[in-house]
Amino acid sequence: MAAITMRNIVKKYGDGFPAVNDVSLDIADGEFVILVGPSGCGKSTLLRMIVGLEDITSGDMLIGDERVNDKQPRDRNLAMVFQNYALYPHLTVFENIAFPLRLSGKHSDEEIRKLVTEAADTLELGEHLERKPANLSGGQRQRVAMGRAIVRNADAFLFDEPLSNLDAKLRGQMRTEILRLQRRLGVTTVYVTHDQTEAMTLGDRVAVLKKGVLQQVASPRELYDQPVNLFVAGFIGSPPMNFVPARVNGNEIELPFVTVPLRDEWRDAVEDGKVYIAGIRPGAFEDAEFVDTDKASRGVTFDVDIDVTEWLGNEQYAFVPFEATPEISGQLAELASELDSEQLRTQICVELDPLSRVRSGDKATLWLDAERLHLFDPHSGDNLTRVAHERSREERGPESSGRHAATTG
Amino acid sequence: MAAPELRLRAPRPGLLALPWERPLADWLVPEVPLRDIAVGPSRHLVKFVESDGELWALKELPPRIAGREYGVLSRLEEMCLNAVRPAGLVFQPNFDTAILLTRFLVGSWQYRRLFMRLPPDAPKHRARLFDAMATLLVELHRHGVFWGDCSLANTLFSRDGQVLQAFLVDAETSEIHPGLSDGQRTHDIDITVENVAAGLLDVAAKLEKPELEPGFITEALSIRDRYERLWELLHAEPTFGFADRYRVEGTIRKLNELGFAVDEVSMLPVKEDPAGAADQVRLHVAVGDRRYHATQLQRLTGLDVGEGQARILLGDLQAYQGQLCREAGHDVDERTAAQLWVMEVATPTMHRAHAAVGGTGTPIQAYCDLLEVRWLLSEQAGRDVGTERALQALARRVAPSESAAQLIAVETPTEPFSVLDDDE
Repeated sequence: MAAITMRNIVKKYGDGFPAVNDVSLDIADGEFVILVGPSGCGKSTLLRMIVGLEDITSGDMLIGDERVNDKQPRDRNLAMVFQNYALYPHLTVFENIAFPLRLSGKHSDEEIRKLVTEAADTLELGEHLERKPANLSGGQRQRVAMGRAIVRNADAFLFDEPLSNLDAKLRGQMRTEILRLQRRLGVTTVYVTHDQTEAMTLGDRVAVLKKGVLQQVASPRELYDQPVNLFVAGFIGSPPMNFVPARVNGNEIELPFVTVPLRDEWRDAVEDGKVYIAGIRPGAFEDAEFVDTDKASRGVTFDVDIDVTEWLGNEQYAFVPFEATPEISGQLAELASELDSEQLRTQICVELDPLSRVRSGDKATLWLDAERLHLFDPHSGDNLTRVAHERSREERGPESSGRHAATTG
Repeated sequence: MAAPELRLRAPRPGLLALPWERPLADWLVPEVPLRDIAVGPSRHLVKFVESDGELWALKELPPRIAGREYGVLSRLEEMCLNAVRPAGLVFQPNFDTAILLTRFLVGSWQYRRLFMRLPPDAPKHRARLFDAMATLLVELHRHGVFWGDCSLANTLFSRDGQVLQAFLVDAETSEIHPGLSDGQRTHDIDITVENVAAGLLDVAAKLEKPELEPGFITEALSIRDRYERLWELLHAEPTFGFADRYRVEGTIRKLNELGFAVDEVSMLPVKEDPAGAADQVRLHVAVGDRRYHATQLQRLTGLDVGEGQARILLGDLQAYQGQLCREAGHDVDERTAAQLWVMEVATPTMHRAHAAVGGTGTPIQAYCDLLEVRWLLSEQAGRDVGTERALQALARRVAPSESAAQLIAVETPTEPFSVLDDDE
């Protein structure tokens, strides 16, 4: 197993357009890192440069201590998992796992038996080695395909949107299997997805990319709570973060529907009289009736006209339109296009207690947690109120030594 | 209930009438004219429909992947590459799924027929199969197409003279780039070799012939060499002295023999070696379509056939022209010879050959088989055995062992559109 180190990686195509632009990223030995972003962000290109499928225009790619820029894919000792997970109906589970080893011609029959048996034990397939794939459950079949990657004893596992062509049920199953396997083997893993739910549930750390540039590398929780900019804030979280205009006026911030106090620690970051973009997660709101008294003082209450509510059983959302200046609307529309999203219209999404009686067309009294709000610069998109986490040990990858670093170009 | 979103490139009445509002799994006979065709295990639900006089393949998959595969197949069609042709894309928002519709390749078959219908130990037939796959990969790579999952099961074959043509069937993992890096090409070959080896081992297990395994593995590995030989040939940039430029002709001839047209030849002075000879040039050949003989035959006769078939037919035409010249005692021009050949030789004989094989395959292919059988029998006999003898041999299916003509066996449909199972 090995760490993967990227230093100032650039990929330019013939037209000079940088598909990946000055990305530096350290992936620790045994860490599970997700590359995520909308289509065209460069995540797959970056993965393909790790594997050796794309030439690197400039920068250094290291696996362990070795620079691999000029090495052929098969000399890098990495395993692309699920690039094909066809199982062969007439071969036993054993042979389905063993054939890449037979093909390589590097192993004796005895070694092959040992490697396959070990892999099968890891995957809890030991009892099924002599069976044919038709006699296995869906989950077991997926594990056989993983077995093929495990027996290679690769330094790292790489996944390129492995679940994107599966149906929703199998996708859930596979996500669990992948996570279990990675935890069990402790093998360095890089996983590309466009699905932020997958990213948030699987990774020790998640690297968010936009147009070839690394935006933020952090634990899922930090990305959610402390995004570096509007892009990350809008990309992570479902339903997405609400963005509304926010004018700083003395000791207060004026939002379209309510005024909240300006916190002392934000004073240095903002200027009086200026308009910013406030980012508020749907979960920072609540139906005022359902807020405990000890919590209520932390926020503000206000009345709004509810446009539509969506009740999903265990959760409930309400949508509230608001007015924004043309400048802020333009900013939000641009952000929506960058995010490949159609959701950032000029309405806010509010999460309500599922028991709340608020219905479409009602006038409702809502509560907002004034502490759970970020202010973004409307021009640069930077988060002006971010508190950099001193990441706790448990949030980091296994055996991480604090040497993770991410810089953007 | 949202209506499905339909995109059909072949808006036939029968296709339009299919129950697109229902999940593919619920489509049942006799309401839908489904046909069972053995395609082996697939990760997605696949069904075949006979409609408007044609056979169509329908595959259910997530909308995003379906849209991508439809896009890739459309690009492959624009580039005239061997692949199934996309015929439609239907989104079914109610089930969060999509159906990709492709036209079934007429006259094509799956590799399993070759193993099930011919003696399993026939390496020459398999060599034809692997040559076809390696050639397809080279053609895709030269056009910037990364397949990502080339396997026996994802390829369809059809006969083309004495060779086979391979067609890409599954483009779920494919990507199209302006050009491919060496890493991408190597990786694609690695995947192919591994998939083919596993497919062959699976066949050996099914036939219960483990003794075939070592040979099968060697053959799977040989795909890499087949690929590399062809790639090298198409991309070689030899250098030689300007005075030796006659060598260009040899290079072009070699490419033409393999069926490749040459679009442009350029010779550029070699500059990087100042100590070297001053008149050195580097040859660069822009290789065009792989239809060199087919184009020539079409120009002369109007016949539109496969490259492999055209190669054989042109040989026959040339022999006929020689015969005409001898009989006339003077030159007979190419065009006249070609017209006479079509009317007096090719057309009548091709129909007799087609009848002799019971109407299997196409008349053109039957004629190519006849020519091959005649040639092989003549070689054995040490003299020309003539068309009648060859026709008899063809009719009795006594084609010489491992001749391409034996492959008629794989072309014969079990029954037109009948239920085929795994053990056909």
